[in-house]
Amino acid sequence: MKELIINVKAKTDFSCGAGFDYVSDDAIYPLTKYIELSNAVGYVLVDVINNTNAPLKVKGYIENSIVFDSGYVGDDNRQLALDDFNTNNNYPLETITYSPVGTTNIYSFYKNVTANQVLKLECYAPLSVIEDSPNGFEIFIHCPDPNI
Amino acid sequence: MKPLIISVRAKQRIALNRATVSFLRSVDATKSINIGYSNGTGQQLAAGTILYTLGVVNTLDYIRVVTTTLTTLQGTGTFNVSISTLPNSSQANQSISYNIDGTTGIIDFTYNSAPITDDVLVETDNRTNYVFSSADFLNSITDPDGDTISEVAIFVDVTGIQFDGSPYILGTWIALSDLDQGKLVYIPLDQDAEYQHNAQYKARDINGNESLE
Repeated sequence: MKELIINVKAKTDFSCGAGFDYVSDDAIYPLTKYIELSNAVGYVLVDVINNTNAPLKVKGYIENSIVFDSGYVGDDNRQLALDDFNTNNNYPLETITYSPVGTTNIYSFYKNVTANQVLKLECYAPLSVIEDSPNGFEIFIHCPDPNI
Repeated sequence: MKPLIISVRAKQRIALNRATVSFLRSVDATKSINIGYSNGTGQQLAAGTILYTLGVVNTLDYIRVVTTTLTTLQGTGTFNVSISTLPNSSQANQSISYNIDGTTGIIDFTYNSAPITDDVLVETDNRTNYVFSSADFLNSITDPDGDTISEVAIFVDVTGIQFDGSPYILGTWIALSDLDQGKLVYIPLDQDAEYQHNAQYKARDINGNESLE
């Protein structure tokens, strides 16, 4: 018999060494991005700048295993609003870790295989930005680096 | 003197019905068929009687027609023969003649070729279902007789393959018309790394001939 071969490609949105901006007002919950991490081994850093007063949670997965979870980070004055959202949607309650607007929070994990893995990044920002809060979120994914 | 009368009666000859048998080209095969007759007058047809032979058994183009059972050809009935042959890859239809008790019988041989398949390669993205169409297969199948390809079947590893919303059962024949209705779907694994799913398949033409390899 002859072969029936189904080639399944790893579809990605972009490669490491790049980032994206995200505005919570038009947020898909969660916004998901797939990032190609190259064959390199080393620490992968994810920079997250929250320029808004809306809390943001970022979760990273490789092959369906979680590699980091920031939890909600941002203006903890929005805790009640977040509780309402989670309650109304039957999600578990989560506490916002306070972080001033404009702070760069860095999350990391170690990529220990040479395969060209894909990082699945989920961004949760369910609350609207209040009034004059500037811009949105800036997220940058560095390539694996063994020397950090 | 008295007359010496010799009465010569018109003895009826046995009549043998024309028979037809079909074979796949390039395939060594034996088939059993019943051949009808009439006007039998009690002739004995012993089992193992070779009615026709051509070439050396089991070599290309040989044909051998042998009776299978002892049959008394009385009145109207049938007798059974076993026909073995190995047609070449381009064998044209032909007829052979044999003889029983002075009567010639004819067997028509018709030949067909199995569809010829080649590897099928399709691509999809992870987390994106792949919906097969008939073109996915037809681009890799030819039929030497120009017969329409009617069905395909999948073997070896059918994990993730669904037919009409249910898990596909290995080896089930699928009409090409069903493929064009989007009934055959591959659901990739929910993983981020690229991979290859390997299965195997067969094709069948409208004459029921299956691809051989």
